[in-house]
Amino acid sequence: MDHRYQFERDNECGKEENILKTVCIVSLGDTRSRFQKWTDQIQNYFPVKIHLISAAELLSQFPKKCDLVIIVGGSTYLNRENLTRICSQTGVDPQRVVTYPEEILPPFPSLNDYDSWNVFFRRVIESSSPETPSEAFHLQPLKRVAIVGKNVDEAILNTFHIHHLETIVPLGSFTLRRNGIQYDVITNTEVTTVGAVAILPEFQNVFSFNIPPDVDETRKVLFLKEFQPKALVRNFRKQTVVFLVPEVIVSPETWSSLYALAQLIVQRDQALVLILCREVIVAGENLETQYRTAREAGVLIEKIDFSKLTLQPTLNMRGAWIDFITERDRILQRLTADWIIKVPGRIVTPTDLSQIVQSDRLTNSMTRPENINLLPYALPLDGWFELPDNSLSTETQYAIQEISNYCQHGVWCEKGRSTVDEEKCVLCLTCLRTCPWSAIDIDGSSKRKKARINWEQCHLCGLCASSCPAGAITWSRLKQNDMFICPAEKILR
Amino acid sequence: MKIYGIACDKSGYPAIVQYIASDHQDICFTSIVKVPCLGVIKESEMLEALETDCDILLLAGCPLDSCHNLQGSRFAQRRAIKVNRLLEEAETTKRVYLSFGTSEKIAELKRVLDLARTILDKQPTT
Repeated sequence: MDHRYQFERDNECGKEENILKTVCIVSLGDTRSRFQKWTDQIQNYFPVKIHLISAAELLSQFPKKCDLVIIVGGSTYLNRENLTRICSQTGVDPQRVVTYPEEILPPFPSLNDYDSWNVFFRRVIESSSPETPSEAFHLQPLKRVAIVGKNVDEAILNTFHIHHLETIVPLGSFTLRRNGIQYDVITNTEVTTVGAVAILPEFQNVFSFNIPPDVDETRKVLFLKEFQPKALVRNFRKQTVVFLVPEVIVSPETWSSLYALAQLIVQRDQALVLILCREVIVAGENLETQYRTAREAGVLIEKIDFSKLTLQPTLNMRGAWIDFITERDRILQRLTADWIIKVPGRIVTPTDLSQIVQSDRLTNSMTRPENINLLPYALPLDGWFELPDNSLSTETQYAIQEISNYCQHGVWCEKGRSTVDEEKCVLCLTCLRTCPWSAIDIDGSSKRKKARINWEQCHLCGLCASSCPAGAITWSRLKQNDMFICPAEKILR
Repeated sequence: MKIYGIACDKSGYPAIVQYIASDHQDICFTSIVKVPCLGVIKESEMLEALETDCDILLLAGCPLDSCHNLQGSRFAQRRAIKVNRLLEEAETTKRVYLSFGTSEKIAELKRVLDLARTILDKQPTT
């Protein structure tokens, strides 16, 4: 069926002649000229008044009265958070906003493409208006950050101050309580409200490769820290020193001291120094220069597979034979080492948030997920961040920048999108357990308690509505507007 | 193959749109519904979608372990398994397929759709 002609027939019959809707089409990609031909042809078939504006004109050119807003943009930008932000800026009811992905609209449309767009447009303008209005609003967190962790580096605090963020480091016993999007830090003496919480990681030294006990008995196996003072006073002339680095995550400081030490032994004592590692780290301040100079001095650095590394004590028990396969040429090599130095890596010890955060179920799942929609250092709860390091590295600076951005921009929420029917609510607490953002409160008198949605914490995922066994939570206009028929259907026809 | 797509607005929807934009002419989406999270789709809604003119129902969402709403994709997976069991009992060829990927990795979506097509081709035509 050709929808174009159907629309023309409808118009001739006068079905839609009395309906005049104002539709604002917002092009997020600022490619207004590209959409001009799409909007121009709409007015031939539909009795609507179209305003076409770009994202830059959103605040200045947005019409005062508007029945419907169609947001056209890249599909990755058409998520709920972005739409809520636009609604909050323009004062539009979020239920009056529909989206269409830009990728589906070709720059040189054919009649079939116009048909597909017009079918969508027809469905949108014919849809009923929302029964209960909703509202998008903006929340601004306080520009104060609580830093949770031991031995906070002064440089980190200074960087927060450069970003105009006040910091507090709670000492002793304290708890954190959620207060909308803010957090109350409760100590024995006072309660301080903060906008964001930054967790400093705690690292633990770890050396995962098992040295055989008979090799350990040679007393030529040492940790790097034990070896460092020895290396400064002892002569290693014509000896072989092997550093084992089985961990991937090793701090840049350790690598730096390792390069310096290896270079010193080679240049001073003409010893043979070999670094056997899983990964070589050269990303860090001055680290690449140190790596190059160590290599030029004669330090051998090999990436090996530690599962195929074997150690055996020599017959005189003054060293160990090392068999390893290099990643470069896959050839089995054997050498006799006079000294074996263990270089530990580090693993992050997770902070026990259940001891800190008061009555919040979310603390159990507060690990950083690899989701592209979250900020890089954010935990899955508004305002919670995990710093990558407890010293001021480049990555830590990026993380502080993210926290600063969060405190400046705030969050956008919607009110009135879903409703809880008090009569139907049987207080089964399923919604409380299901809500990933812990946005359900139990409210009311002791006789008649009911579930209530905390709008400040609600992320509009709708999981509570879908899991409520009593059907007490309803979502308005959840999906019927965000639907389109793709052009592929037309191609097949 | 006619597909009714339901996708979450964070990962699944951009992935489907990217897939359509890359012009796979043998695939036809009858409609694509954008939802805030895949976890909102109930079994009844899946069956309703399957009643329309489509061969399969595709649910596209965030990767299981990194769902934006933590448990949303797992809810969808659990419900899709239930619905597929019902469809098996009803001896229909329609099925619910799940794809957990992002717009950067539409290969996952392609793999699921290829699998669906292979299974559909093997079915005897009634």
